[in-house]
Amino acid sequence: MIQAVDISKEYRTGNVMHQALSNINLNVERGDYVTFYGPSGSGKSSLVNILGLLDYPSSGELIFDGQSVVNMNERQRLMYRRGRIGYLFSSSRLVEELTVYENIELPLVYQKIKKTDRKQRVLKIISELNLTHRKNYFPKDLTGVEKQKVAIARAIIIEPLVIIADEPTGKLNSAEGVEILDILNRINENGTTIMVFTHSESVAAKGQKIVQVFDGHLVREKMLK
Amino acid sequence: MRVLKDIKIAIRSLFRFRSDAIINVIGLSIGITISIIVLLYVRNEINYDQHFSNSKNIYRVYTEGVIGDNYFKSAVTPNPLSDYLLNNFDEVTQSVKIVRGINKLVSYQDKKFNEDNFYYADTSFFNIFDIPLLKGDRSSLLKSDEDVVITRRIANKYFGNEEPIGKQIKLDNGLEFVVKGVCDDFPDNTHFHCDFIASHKSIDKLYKGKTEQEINELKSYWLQLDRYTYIVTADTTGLTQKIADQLAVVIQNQVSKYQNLEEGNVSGGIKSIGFKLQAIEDIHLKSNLENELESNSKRIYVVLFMTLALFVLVVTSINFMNLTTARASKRVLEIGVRKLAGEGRHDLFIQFIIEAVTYSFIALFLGLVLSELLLPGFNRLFNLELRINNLESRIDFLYVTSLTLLVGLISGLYPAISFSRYREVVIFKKGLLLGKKSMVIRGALAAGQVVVATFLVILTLGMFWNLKYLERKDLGFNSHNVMVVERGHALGSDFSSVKKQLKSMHGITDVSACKYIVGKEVPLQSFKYMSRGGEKMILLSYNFVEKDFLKTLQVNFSAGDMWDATNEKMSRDIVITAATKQALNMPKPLGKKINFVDAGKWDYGFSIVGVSKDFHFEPIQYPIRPLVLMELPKGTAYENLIIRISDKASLDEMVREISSFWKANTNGEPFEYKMLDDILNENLKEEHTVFKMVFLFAILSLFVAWLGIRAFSTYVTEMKMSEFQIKKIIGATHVQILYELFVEVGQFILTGIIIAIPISFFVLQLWLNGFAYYSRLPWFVMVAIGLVIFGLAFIIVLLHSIKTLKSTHGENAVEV
Repeated sequence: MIQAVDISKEYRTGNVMHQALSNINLNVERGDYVTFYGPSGSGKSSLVNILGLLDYPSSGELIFDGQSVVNMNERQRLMYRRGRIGYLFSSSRLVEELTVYENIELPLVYQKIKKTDRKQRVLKIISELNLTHRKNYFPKDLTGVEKQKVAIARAIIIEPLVIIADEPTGKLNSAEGVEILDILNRINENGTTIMVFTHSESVAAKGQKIVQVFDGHLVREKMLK
Repeated sequence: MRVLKDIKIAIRSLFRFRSDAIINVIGLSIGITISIIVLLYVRNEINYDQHFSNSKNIYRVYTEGVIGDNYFKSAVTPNPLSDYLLNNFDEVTQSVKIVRGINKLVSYQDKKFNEDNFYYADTSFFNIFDIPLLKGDRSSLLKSDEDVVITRRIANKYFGNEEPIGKQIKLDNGLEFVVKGVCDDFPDNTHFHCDFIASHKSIDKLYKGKTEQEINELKSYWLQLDRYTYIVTADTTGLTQKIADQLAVVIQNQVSKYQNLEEGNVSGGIKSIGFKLQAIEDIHLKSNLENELESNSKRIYVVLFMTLALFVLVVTSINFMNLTTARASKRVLEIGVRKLAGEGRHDLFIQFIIEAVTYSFIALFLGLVLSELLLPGFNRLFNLELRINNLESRIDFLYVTSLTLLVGLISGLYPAISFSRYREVVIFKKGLLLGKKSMVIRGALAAGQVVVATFLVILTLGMFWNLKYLERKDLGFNSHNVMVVERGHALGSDFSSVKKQLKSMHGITDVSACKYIVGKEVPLQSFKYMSRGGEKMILLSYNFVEKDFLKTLQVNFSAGDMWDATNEKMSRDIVITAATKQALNMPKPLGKKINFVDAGKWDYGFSIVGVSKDFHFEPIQYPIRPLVLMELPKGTAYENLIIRISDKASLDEMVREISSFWKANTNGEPFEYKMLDDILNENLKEEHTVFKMVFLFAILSLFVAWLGIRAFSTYVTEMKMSEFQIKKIIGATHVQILYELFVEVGQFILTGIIIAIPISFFVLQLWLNGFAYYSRLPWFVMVAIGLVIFGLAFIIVLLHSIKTLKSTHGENAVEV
């Protein structure tokens, strides 16, 4: 479903050139659960941005669901992302002024989905993630794991093909982390592709396939299941 | 040394964030420039007449009274008043009476000029009004009836490099004077301006053919108001009441004396006359009497401009604060590192304050440069003589410097307090936390700027709308292509011959003459008439006019016609206007009699032969008052010629022809003319000046509001950056984000506009109340202005934020 061919990414700071990614080749199939594992500075963030269509590679080809996305302009990429990619970050990055319900609803508002449809979909997901009693709460009144659950709900409300999760348990304790990874697992079992980027070996071990990232290169791939 | 180090850092920071810093400093310097200029202007206005060393003790006496059923307040007083006050009240230490000779032809050898500011005054004039004397002996000035003192400007105009003292000048009324002194020009901020001050005694020479007794009687006559009286007194407590009590007897005796004369009631229907005092320091801003020496200003303008200047300064400081705070979020790491390196809260606080004060002093420097550059244009535009670097302004400089320091402190205080209090761990983890509450306060302040900008734009357009209305208003006569030639008496008293010759010129359609120029204030006169309740007195405006006056001005009649030519010394027919007909309550006035009553002189009956339609014979700001038109006695020359030029004729050519005619028939007197349209436009000069000032303020306030909205939108963008990032990641388009941003900013702008509209409406109405006739800016135009400002604000937010919002993509989008 996602095919990266010789992807490279360079950043220039003044006269200094920094090679963040070098000749990345990758193939992620529909329904895969892939974890990208590597230390800080290994190039994970650059890879998240490029695979998540948030940034352009300096060179190479990126094919998403059979379609090249490298030459798309910003607006085309935005439209392409909508409904296809869900995002999850270490900090839940919820909108503080919106309630749980409104945060989850937000992507549907941007997609101009009808209010009645939105309500139906949001309530269903809230119920699935056991957040019904919190639906009118503001983010400041939630626990860390609740916030992350809301972020997951917001990511899956659009029924994406893939969820890109960047350190999804980075700010949770181990028990909370397990709960979140279980949810991601359930989502994957329903057919959604999951790509988790982490520096934690235990988190990486939850995927079907581990890709090790080091110094901007994919150094090893290992099938776990 | 610490301060120097902080100043150095402030300057480096200015260069590092130069685009923000430049806008920041320019915004503040504009606020300071406006404050400096307005301060100079206000200072000039409130210091009127204070250059006289004894100004606190100088008072003008004015007259208040009732004639017929009309109450009046006038700046002119009777001739004997000045001496009476000096001789009968111990509190009065000096007094002077002055009289203005209007439009005098002054000649020295072959030089002849028409002069407007020729005054006659008592010997005490230069003791009370101590204008610096450049030549002559102050103690002996104006003692002889031939003495005249001239100003420096007049000395240069007539005598160039020659010694002016001892030179003889002549007036067209036959008086001759010898220059005994040269004084400095009257400062601009004086409520009257003299060019010549001649001895008051010289006026006695004009009473030709009268006996000494008759002259003395005229000079001791209390019922004619034509002198300006000033007194010096250190103690006014109870003085006004004493004057009122004592003079009531004098006036009553005089009224009784003339009422008892056989020829009828010549006391002019005077019911009461009293005299009151006004401090000369108050005249310019508080006095609006009839017969003012020069038109005065209004306190409301000073208050308005001071309030605006203060507001502009406050809002520019707020913008400065907003931008500083928004920019500080870009310096988050610097602040964190400084704290880690051991910089205490106090040190950081001091650094932010010093930075803000440094910026505000740079802004002060720019403001001073800008003021110096703008002042010449400002002075030209508003006919002022404001300067920054004169001696009297030193205190202003101190004031402006203190104010700048204060602005710097206040502007720097918020960022200094809010940024110095963060702990380094919070800074590194979360960045600077810009609170929602703070956004509401800043939004309210931005809304305040929008209120001012919208208010000024509406005020400007409202003023413009009314001025256009007044300029286009049907005056009741045709003012186009009418030439007014003053000093018509120079052509002699045989006006019919002058008229015949002028009318024979190709291009002249009508010629007439009058005593008082159309468009200028016309005096009031007592008239007596019979009503159902018996004989009544009334004050009416009057003018002596030649019989083709209304025809030349193209004023229509509603009944009757002009008087016919007569062989008698004076026609006993008069024409009234529709307003007079109404004031006299005469449904059928033709053939009815009214008497012209000049206290102590005349009581002549006239027959009404025509009723003209109403027309604006006085300035357009005035209501159309009742008017009586009558003919001058034969052999008396009219003051002003009015000549209607054909629309097809070339004005330049006509001026040349009439000028030649004038020179040929006046022994080479200078030919000066004005077009009636220009005279009428001059009446709106003050309104145009205020309009230009408000317009200037509106432009500046729009600029300041632009800075304000920009600063506020920067603040909101910075504050919501993280939120916008995530919204973009989850699918929001630029348009959707911009919409959300604009809703955040726009709610404050809209509130500002909604508040500004009723305020503008109210203030505009206050201004309009000064006009007898006005046209109010329609409400939908005010709403449209509000919408335009809202639209402009949207464009500002759009242009400013789109670049920032676009940059929220890419590598910054996702944290590691």
